[in-house]
Amino acid sequence: MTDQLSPRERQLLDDWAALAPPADFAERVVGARAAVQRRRWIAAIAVATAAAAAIAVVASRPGEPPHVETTSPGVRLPHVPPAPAPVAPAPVPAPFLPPDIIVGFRESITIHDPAGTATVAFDSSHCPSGQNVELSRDAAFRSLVSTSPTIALIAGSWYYRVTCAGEPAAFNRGRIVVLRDDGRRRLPESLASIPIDADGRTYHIDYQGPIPSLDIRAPDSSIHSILHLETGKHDQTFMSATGTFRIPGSALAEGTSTFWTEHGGERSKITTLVIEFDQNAPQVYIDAPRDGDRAGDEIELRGAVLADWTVRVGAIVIPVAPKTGRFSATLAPDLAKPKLVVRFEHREHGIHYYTRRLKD
Amino acid sequence: MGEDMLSVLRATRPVPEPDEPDELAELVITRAAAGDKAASRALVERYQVRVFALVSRMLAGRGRAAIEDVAQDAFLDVFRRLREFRSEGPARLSTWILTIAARRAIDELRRRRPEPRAEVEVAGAAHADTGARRREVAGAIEAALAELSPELRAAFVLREFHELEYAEIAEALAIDLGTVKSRLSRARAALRERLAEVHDD
Repeated sequence: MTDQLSPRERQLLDDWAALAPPADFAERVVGARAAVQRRRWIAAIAVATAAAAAIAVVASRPGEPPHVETTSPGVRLPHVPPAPAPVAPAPVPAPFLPPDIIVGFRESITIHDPAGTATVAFDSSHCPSGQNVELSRDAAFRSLVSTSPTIALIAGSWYYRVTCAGEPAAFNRGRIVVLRDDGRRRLPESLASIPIDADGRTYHIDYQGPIPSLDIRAPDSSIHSILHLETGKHDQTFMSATGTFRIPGSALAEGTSTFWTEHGGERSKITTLVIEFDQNAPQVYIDAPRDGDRAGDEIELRGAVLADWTVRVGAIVIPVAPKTGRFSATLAPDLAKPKLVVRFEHREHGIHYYTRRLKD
Repeated sequence: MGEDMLSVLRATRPVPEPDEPDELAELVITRAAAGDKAASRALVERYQVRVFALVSRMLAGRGRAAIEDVAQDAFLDVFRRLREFRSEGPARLSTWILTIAARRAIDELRRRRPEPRAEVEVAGAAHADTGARRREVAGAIEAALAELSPELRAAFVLREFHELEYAEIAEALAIDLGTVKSRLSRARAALRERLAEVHDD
């Protein structure tokens, strides 16, 4: 007897009808999943809150600002011998879908990810009974795309709003920009100064870090003269015995300014300066790790930032060398799960996250 | 016609195969893995017919509630592990999901004894003969499957109704290829014997 079914037997099998799913089955599954997710998140956030409370201030290198280090994730800062042994974190129940980033209350952030994707969740501490998150491509929420508590984003600009369960109005909202960027563009080198002639023309200056200094040459550069600078906020006067004026960046301001020089009651033409921040210039450079590197027993984080950026991994502040802008730290591999997420913050440029997927 | 009768008719009607592309787009899978509700719903809607077909055949004779519970648990397992799925890997998403559903059904078969089987009702006298015939065939198949162990039943359903390759079944049930072939041979023999009792030609 053949091992295969005969056509007649095959037909009888085909006639054996299977049960069809009920019409609302998909909705029921999604609802059940959300309930499971909520329960696990409550547990995970409770543990994370307890871990964040265990923060200790440790000594920093001479000349550098103090920083804080958590006692649990096992982070060591460079050049602080002897390095403390990492303290194993308490077992943490894995969240159902661990997000790369938890967006803080009313935060607007930019995520720089090598693949242009990121998973985010939202601070739920203001909604003890649960919250509903809406995500849209436009600020008016005409193009609602998701209502999940944990959301996978692709490159682009997104608006979110959060409503507590049972509350009609959104209490928390902001914007998330996801960029396909691995943070490996070299930082611009800072110029010592930019030469400008007081010739009545308009000069456009795009700056990328601190506003650079200017060397302004009067029409007759061999004589004593006075320079009047109007930045819109206040007027300033500079003197020179050589006809060249060194204007420090700190005396300048973003926007439009005007200046003229004066000698013996004779004024030069009014020259205009348009100073703008170069939005496209990199502010952050991450040398290591690279996306796809192995995490190994420890992760070497190295990079550089332009002026006034702070660097953090979780609750750990990574010190930045004031003169060079360089930073480095040795991190425990647990911090790279599911991704290594480095948070950079600047009072003007906002909050930027740079992410790395590392192999075990 | 009452809701119970409607559900019986739905249950006895052959389930149409979906016309959509066989597998879900990778972006939708990624979003579903991250908890996006719309993507999760899309995933369930895409594969629910196949999962129900598998689970209801493996749990033949159990009530609808038990089948729905197992199918739902299977999808929750799918979502919990969806980040582990690699679209560039050897398994298609449909095969991967069916594997999870089969394991859930095996667990259910091991855990619980069969419930008394509900009588299948057929609406309308004109269809009485067809309905009775269908019941007879279904009864024979179910009886044949009931004689098989949960793993044997899974192998048979995955092969004969979902057309998985032997290697895929071996992977799904964590058994070697030779065992898959021998199990299927035994399952077919059992089925052939039962069906012979209801052959009308």
